Amino acid sequence: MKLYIPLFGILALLWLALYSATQFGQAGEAIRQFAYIVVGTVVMFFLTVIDYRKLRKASIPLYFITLGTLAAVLVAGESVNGSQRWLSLGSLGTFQPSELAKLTSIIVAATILSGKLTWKRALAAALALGPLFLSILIQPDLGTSLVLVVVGGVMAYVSGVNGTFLFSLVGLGGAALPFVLKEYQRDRLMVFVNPDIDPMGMGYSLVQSQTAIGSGGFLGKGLLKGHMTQHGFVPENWTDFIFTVVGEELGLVGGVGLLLMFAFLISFILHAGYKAVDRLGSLLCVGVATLLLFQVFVNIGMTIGLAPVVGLPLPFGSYGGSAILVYMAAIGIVGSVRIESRVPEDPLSDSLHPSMEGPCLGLE
Amino acid sequence: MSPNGVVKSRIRQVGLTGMLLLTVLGARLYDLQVLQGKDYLKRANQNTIVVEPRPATRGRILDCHGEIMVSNAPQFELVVTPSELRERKEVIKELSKLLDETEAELDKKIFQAAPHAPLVLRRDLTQDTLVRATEIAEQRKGVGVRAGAIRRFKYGKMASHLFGYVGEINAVELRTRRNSGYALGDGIGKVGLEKQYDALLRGKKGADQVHIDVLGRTVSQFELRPSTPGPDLYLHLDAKLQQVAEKALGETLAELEKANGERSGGTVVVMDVNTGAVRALASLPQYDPRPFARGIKSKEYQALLDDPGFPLVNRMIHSAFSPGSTFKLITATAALQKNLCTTHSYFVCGGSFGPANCFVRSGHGGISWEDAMAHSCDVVFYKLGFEMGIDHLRKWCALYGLGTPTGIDLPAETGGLLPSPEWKQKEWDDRWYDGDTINMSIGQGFLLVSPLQMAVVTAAVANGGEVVRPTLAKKAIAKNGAVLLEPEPHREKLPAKPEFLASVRRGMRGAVIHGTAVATNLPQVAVAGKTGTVENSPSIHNKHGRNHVWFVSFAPYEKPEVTVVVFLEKSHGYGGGLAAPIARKCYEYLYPEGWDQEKKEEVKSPA
Repeated sequence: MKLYIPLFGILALLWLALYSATQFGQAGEAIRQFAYIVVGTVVMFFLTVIDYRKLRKASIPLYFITLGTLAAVLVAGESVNGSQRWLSLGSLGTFQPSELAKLTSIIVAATILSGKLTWKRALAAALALGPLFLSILIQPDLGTSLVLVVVGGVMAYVSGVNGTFLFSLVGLGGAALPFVLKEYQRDRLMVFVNPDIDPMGMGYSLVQSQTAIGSGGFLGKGLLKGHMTQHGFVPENWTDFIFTVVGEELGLVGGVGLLLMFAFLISFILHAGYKAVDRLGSLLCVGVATLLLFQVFVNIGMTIGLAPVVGLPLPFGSYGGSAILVYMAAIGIVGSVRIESRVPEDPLSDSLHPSMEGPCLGLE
Repeated sequence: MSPNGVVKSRIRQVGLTGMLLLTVLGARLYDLQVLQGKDYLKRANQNTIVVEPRPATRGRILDCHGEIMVSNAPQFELVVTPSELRERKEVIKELSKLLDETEAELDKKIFQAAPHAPLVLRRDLTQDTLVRATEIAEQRKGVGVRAGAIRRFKYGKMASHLFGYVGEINAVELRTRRNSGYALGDGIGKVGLEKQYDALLRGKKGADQVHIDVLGRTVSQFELRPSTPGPDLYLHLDAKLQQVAEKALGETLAELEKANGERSGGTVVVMDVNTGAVRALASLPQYDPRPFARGIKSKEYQALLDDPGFPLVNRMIHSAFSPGSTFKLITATAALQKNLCTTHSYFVCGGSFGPANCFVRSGHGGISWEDAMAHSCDVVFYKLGFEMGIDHLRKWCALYGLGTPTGIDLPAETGGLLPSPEWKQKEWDDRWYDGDTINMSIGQGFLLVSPLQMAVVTAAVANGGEVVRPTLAKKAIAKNGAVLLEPEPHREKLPAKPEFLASVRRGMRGAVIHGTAVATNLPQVAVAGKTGTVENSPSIHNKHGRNHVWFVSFAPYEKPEVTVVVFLEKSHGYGGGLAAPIARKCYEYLYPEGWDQEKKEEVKSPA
């Protein structure tokens, strides 16, 4: 049960924030989001009861389906000088294949790296994630492609790849970044360093979101009562800036509360990985935990001036169906890893039931 | 394989790093909300600043004489700000009655809009609607009436295909343009020149800085940046000539509708043969752009879509047809270039070539090369087409620009269809027969061209071998006098011998003097032309399989200046009888009696 208390806490809190941000004008969004959460819950429990080891076989078709939908996005849209990230599903809304790609990458990387670590395997994992990474990068969606790199990198590290080698790769990539970034992406980095250079454009969002969060104080202004939220002073606060609603209306208590719930959720996921019976289970959990952690840090960091605007949604909070379904599915896989590791191979070891132990990571 | 010690210890490291990162976020929140919380609260309460864009006036469109054709007029518009809306149901009910739109439609529009920006529901309110709208706006929060600008079309429906219209930007357009200054609620050119030159015409938005208090009231407002109005776009178009062309075309189409009992369309272009400057471009039927400017109702739009005359289609550039005998211009050039005949060759037409008949069943008898063109003898061209083969014919089609769009400055132009044996194998699963080549050599069969492509072909024959790019825009001049756009004429050399093209011109001149196009034999200017009649089989859009007719021409014969191309869809009849008289009206306007005298005097007087 431990997994689900912080999970549903996060879902409830972020749903309230969405409701507050959209109560006028877009009131239907909160209802739609609720429906997605219900569907997501079903998906999650479905994946929990299925043995995660079956994912090994599913990984290859899943990989090509994902690649296909990513290609469809690139082809189906008239991309002039912006980016094309959605596929329309008619009345069901839209589907964002890059969200699916996050989960697919985790499953594929975990499958490849689950055997004994060799250079060949590590290289194969990198080659497998490459096409996914590239087709998202050219959408262009720098944020999501970065997610794949970070998640893949951390999974490689945990699987045993030499740390020094990985860090030097990161260093090289970082050095190359200024050359591959598009102009507007470079602008965003500049604005992050100094929001005042563009107070009317992108810097405006950053200044306004910090003001909104800061003005929330310790207890917040009360749900539905944050005037910056309610009067539209934070642009797009029902999408990537949803955390500003939490910050303004629920204050430090709400913000830190949310962070704590994420901390518990991520620790429990890593704990499941720690106790998993095989490398596949461990790596799956590490991938999911890294996915959540990186996005939480970058998204919330963006709203409080600690990270640049790269357009990454807050897990479980971004409005739109495909993202919610993907994260719920990820938690479902973690649930399956927990269940399988709990099956006592020796009845005598029942007293050492993993779920009886406390979280081992940082919270010990 | 079970996880070993390395995996476990590294998971521990990942966990510790994660907790550290989350702690950093928490610490920053403490800093913002507790340590600096009071300052931020003060800032939020006192000085909430929003930056509101200040729209720029859209650029006007003028003709070559500086006659204003499209400009802006003040108007009142009804807006709704979704986030301020209370009593939503009642408001939608009232607005639905006022605007004559269903409640569901309005609800959807408001639901999909950005919550905090005013959404324009109807522009250009009529007097009665304005009175009622103002009443509603006074009673209901979130509904407002404000002044704005609307596109004004001085000539009404004239040239609506060229100008196009402006509509509200949609999600797809916005997604790709967000980084180039477009925002939700902006107008954007949807078709025609408004689309082609949108980035230019829209000007640059300014910005107002607005201070708003806690309750959302405006405390003060000042201009941060003035807006830059869009430039004046001058066209090569001559509004009077456009009117002449549309009137002549319209009258003919009206007669045809009466005679045939079905609506048909037609199109006329007048273009400078040396530069490609488009002096007039008419396509009928056309639509009224004014409902689009004020926000078209779905009913009205559906009516346009269902109209059997297809008023939304610009037949000059959006459609492609068989060129019929006008294609002989190309067959002739290709044959001469391959030395299949000379400009002095003499042929015998017995009325048929194998199974293919000449349109004069009894045959033309003995006929010279240039008379074959003047009298449009099919047999001569069947024979030449058969002898040169499809590859050579295709090569010359491509050189004349068929198969690719002409590059006119209008969106969504078709390139027509230049068929090849490979194409036929793929599309029809059949090989290319000599019969296909023979058919194509008189402009029947698979080949499809847009009327504008035929104008480019005619211009190339007339100007001695330059394939020009048709152009509407002459220049764009900003309010401060800066020239923002002045396209240079674009030409490509046609590798044809000048004497061959001269021979084709002589044949076309013959058609006007004693051949199929005597309708354009004017006393004051020497016109040269070629008629075309396309046979059709009955189809969904052409139930009776009526002929399409063509007329391509240029003048003056001695020193060509303009080309006039006329095309009539499913008109029945022949090109010489129906299409040529429309071209005649254009020439009469361009070359009134005594024009050459005036010209000579003009040259003399300054000296």
